Amino acid sequence: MVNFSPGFELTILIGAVGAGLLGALLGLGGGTFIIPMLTALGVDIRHAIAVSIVAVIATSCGAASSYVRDGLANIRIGIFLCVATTTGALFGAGLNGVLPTRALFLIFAAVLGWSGVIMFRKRGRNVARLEPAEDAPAGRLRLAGRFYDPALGRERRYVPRRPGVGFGLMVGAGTVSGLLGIGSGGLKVPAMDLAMDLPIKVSTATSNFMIGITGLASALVYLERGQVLVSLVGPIALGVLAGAAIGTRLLPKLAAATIRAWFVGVLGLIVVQMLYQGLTQ
Amino acid sequence: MNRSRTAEERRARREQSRQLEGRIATVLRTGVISAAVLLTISMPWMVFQDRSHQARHLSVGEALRRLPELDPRALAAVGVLIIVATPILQLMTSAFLFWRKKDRLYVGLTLMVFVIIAIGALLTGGGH
Repeated sequence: MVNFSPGFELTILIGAVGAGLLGALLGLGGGTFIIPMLTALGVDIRHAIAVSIVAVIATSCGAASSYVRDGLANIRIGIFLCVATTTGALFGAGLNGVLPTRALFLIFAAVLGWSGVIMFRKRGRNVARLEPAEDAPAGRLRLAGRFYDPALGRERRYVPRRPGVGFGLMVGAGTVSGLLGIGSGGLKVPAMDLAMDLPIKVSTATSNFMIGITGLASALVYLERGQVLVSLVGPIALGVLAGAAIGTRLLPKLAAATIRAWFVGVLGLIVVQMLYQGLTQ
Repeated sequence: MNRSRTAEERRARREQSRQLEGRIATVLRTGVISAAVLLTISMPWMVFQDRSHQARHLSVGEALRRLPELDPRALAAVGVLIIVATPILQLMTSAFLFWRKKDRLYVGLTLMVFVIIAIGALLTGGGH
């Protein structure tokens, strides 16, 4: 077992600041970074997963508190898509053990890799072309929104396209996270970006609004089972909260293309992790 | 005439939605700040206090039972519970505010999310 020492706590605290920063910036939650960090330090995987889900909720709440206030996170889109992700997660948990996990890891590594390539190619696209006319119909779901983009120096309006396709993809994202136990942020952002054509900042901010809610059910279960260790979760939660506070200040200022490039970079990391798990499990 | 009315309606609607966002942001912020304060106080205390093997592997539930003794781990555990409770409050506030705005569709969707999460927690939790 791990040798808990002030050095160990400081290490995971600093690591968590980085995870919270990237999680808040990219809408990922940060489990992708926290689980490997803890297991590399000798923490049991069951404890690492349980602590990571609490960290994801902390990142999400910390980031969403700013994004909601600034109008970057779209609450209606968040709630609408949460119906899809939570249904999917339930479905995925039910399918656990029915489908071959190894093959799924490989399939989703391919899907994510492909989304990453498309997202990267979109980076240079002219944003003005995507802007709707002032009176563009917002639809019955009233998902349209606007936010002030300091990087552009003006307000941006957007009307999500194909909400039905987005909803369907989110059911898929939820299923995968329920089935494979991986954070679904890596799937949520591409779904919003590619299917619904949302501005990247709105996608990552809204993903942050959603992941806390999506992770809730698992967090309650892990707490009830006594898998969340205080000595681990304390420094990690504190670290991600600090990281998220930095990330949320950074996001509005960064250029959309920069966020897109960072996101694709981290997506590459997730693909490698999934390939590894698919090939070694 | 018709045009100016729709512009006004749009403005009113936008104003309403800003209020909604402000309330939800306040709920989230309150949760996050109170958790951060508890964790900041308990962390150094926890690190330099008695580091017996048993205490290191306390779960959140076990640590909570030490609250009467004012154990720093219990304070940290309360911080963790606040973090996990925040999305629940986030959903409840959203449902309440959509209800106040008479937005039935979104009250329904928010409650649906609630029910699905509860089913999920009960099903997976009950299996062990």
